[in-house]
Amino acid sequence: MISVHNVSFRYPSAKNNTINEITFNVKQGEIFGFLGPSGAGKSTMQKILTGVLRDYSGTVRVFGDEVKNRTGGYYEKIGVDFEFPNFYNKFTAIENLKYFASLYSSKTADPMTLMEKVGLHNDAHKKVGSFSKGMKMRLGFVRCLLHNPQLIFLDEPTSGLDPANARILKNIITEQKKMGKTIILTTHNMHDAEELCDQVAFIVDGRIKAMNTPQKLRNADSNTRVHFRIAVNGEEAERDCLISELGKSSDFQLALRDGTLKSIHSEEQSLEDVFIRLTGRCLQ
Amino acid sequence: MRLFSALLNDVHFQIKYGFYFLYTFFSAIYIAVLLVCPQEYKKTVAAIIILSDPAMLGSFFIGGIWLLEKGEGLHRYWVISPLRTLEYILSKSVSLALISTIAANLIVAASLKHDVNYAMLTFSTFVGSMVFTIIGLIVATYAQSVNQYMILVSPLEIIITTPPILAAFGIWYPALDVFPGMALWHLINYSIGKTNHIEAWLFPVLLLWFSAALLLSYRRIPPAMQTEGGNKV
Repeated sequence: MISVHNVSFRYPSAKNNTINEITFNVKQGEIFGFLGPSGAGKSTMQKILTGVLRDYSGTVRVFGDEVKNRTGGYYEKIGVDFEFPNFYNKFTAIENLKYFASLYSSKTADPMTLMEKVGLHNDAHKKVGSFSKGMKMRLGFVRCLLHNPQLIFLDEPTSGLDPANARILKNIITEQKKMGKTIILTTHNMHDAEELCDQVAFIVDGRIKAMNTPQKLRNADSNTRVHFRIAVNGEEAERDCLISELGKSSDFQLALRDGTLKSIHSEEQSLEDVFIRLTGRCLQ
Repeated sequence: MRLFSALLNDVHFQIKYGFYFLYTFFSAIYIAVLLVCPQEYKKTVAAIIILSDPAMLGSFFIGGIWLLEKGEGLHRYWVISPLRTLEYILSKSVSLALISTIAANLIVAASLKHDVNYAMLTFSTFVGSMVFTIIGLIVATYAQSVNQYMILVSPLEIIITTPPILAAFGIWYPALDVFPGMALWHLINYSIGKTNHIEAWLFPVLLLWFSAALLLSYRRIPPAMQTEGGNKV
C-alpha cells in the first residue's frame, strides 16, 4: 500500500533536513504508527504521504503511484483527521459534514449514522463553534471516514478525549482495520500506539531510530526484572531479580517450596521505556 | 458538481456571516440617494456607485473570507480535499460576483428604470466583480490580519478606481482604458444608457484581466494554503 524509500525533505526556510533518509513499508490493512516527540518530523512525514509536500528526495509510492505525481483523484481515496479540528464554526455539525461529503464523487456515508457512533447525534444541529475540543475531535474523526477512504491518516486522534470517548474511537479504528483499511497513526501516546498498531516507527530528529511491532520492541530487552514478596519469619519481605535468573533465585525457590510466596509481578518495559532507552528522548 | 457544491456553500457562508444583509442595506441607501439625485447627475452617480460598491466590494469581502477560513484552519483541510484550486477560486469569486450583480441590477432597476441594458450590466458587473475579487484574494494571501489586508488592498483599490472617478469629471486618457477599472467604467456607462457607443475591444480587455488574475491566483493559492503549520513551502 505504502512504500517509502530513502526519503529526505527540507523546508526552504530551514537550514537542515526535517526528514532524513526515511525508509519503511506499510501493507494494506495494517495500522502503522509514527511515535515521536513534538518536532520530530511526524507531521512533515504525514504531509509528504498525503501529497501536500512534494519537493522531497527519494521515492514515496502510495497505491502504486509516486505521491509527488498525485492527481486530484488521490484525495478521493484518503481520509485525514487533523490534530487541530478545522470546521466552519458558524455552521452546525451536520451542515459542515454534508458540505464536506458533497466534495467527494463517490457515495458517502450518512453523517448522522457516523455521528451517532461517536455520540454526537444529539449535537448535530448545534454550531461547531459551541463544541468542546473533544467534540470537535470526534467530528473531525467522523469527517475523515465520510467517503469510505482506503487509507486513513490519524493525527493524535484521542487527544483531548475522555477515556470513554477515546475507547469508542479506538474501537472504530479497529473496525476500520478489520474492513481492510490501512491506517497511519501519528501520535506521542504510547498506549494508543501499543494497543492499535501492527508496526511502530520511533522517529526523532527526522530519522527512524527503530521500527518493529510494539510487542517485539518491548521484548527486545530481555533484562526484565521480577519483583516478588515472600513471608520471612512471619513478616513480608520484597525481593527482585532478573527474569532470566528467577529459576536460580534461592529465595524464590524456597518460597515456592514452602508456600510462602505472597505476590509476584514482572516489570515489563512499556513502549515509552523502550523509546527513551533507544532514543534518549521523552515522548512528550 | 463539486464546483456547484462549493458555490452553494460559499453563498450559505455569505448569508450566515451577514454579507447579504450588508449588500441589501447598502443597496437600499444607494437607491434612496439615486432617487433624490437630480436627473442630470443621476446616471453619473449610478455609474460611480456600481463601480465602487457592487463591483468592487467583493475585493474587500474576499480578504475577510480568506482570513476567516485561515483562522478556522480550513486551509489545512482544502489541501487534502478533492476540491481543486480552480474550483476554490471560482466558487469564491462567482459567489461574490453573483451578489454584486444582483445588487447592481436592483439599484439600477429601482432608480433608473429607462435606457438600461440589463444583459450588459449583468455581464459587466459580474466579470468586473470577479476580476477585483480574485485580485483581492491574491492580496489576502499575503496578509496576516484584516487590518494588514486593508493596508495592502486599499492602495490597489485607489489605483484601480482613480482613473474612472477622474473620467467621471472629464479627465480621461484613452491609454488608461486598458486597465480593468476603466474598461468596467465604460461598460457600466454604456449599460445604463449614459453613453450610446461602446468600443468592442473593452470586452476582451476585461476578460484578459480576468484570465490573468485567475492564472496568478491559481499559482499563488496552493503554496499560500500550505504555509499553515509554521513552515513556509
